[in-house]
Amino acid sequence: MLRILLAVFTGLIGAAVLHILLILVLPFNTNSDAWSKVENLSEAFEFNILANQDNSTGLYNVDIFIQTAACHFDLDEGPLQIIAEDPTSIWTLAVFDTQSNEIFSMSARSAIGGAVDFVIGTKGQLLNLRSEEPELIAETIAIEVSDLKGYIALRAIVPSVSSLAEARSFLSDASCARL
Amino acid sequence: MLALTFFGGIYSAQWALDATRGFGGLQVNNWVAYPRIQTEEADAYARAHRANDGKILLGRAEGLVFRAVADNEGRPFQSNCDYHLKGRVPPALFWTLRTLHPDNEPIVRPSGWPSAINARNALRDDFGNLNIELSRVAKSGNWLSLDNRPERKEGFELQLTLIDTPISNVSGIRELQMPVITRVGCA
Repeated sequence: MLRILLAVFTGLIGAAVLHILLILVLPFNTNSDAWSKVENLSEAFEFNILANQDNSTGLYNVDIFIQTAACHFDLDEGPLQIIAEDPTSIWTLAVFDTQSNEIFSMSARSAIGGAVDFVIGTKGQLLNLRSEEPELIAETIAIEVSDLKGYIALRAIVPSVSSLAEARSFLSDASCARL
Repeated sequence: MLALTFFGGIYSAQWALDATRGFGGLQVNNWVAYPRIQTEEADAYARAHRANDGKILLGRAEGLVFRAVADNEGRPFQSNCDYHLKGRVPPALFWTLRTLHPDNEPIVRPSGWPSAINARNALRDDFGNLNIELSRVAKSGNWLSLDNRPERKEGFELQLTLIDTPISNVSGIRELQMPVITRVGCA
């Protein structure tokens, strides 16, 4: 009897340890995390507009009223600039690291003149830019990151199905390129 | 013993991935939001859930997602019941409300039937309140359709996405007003 109880008890302890291990290790050992999926969409420095239906990339617009474009980057060779012309609707932007932790986010309401114009760089890269191209830096929003790699989500809000095409063309005109 | 360890450990971890988005959820009525799930501060369960789920989550300044899976009396949503959603949505630049299957399966409904409603197309009463009917049969006014296979009693989830809302930064979130969802009746 005691032996059975002991076995059950040890089994439960083991289960608890395994549970904790699985939960802790999973984020580092999955290919289904957002970073891996964004990285598989295309080469770096390209905005990919997500489809509206579930597909093999694993990424899609779960909410038809919120259209998302994603771009991943590697700042190894210099800073990155994000520009999108003529925002016709509400847009939002977020920058994530490779662990999918949010580094920065903002919405159209707080942008200068409502325009999408960002520079993303490391501390050193941004300092260089400030001294070399002060007028460029003055007009954009500079986002400092500590990791070289990460991804950006640019979203356009679609209030009605009739403005879907407009929102997608805004996203497809957006550029995510090395400065 | 080994079987208990393996199955217990694996099953409970898998259960946790589906069932919880971590600690630190904010609950208002039956609505729950996780304002920090996409941040560095997210706990181990939240991180595991988001890594497994792999969605491009909304950043803090982008918005906040509230979920509900039960009515105001705590009864899980069933697609063979009618529900009435009444009240106000917290301040936001834009919002969307949609129905979805809890396991991300498609909800079966005739094409063209509404699965989502938003700040721009929802009708409000004279006091600015929202009244939204959730039902598998067509309703007038604001209406979201539910899974309309008569033989099924599928559960569903409601998701309210607030875009650019000041509440993501407010600690007094418990003071928030969220729409109340009451069950009208079941077929």
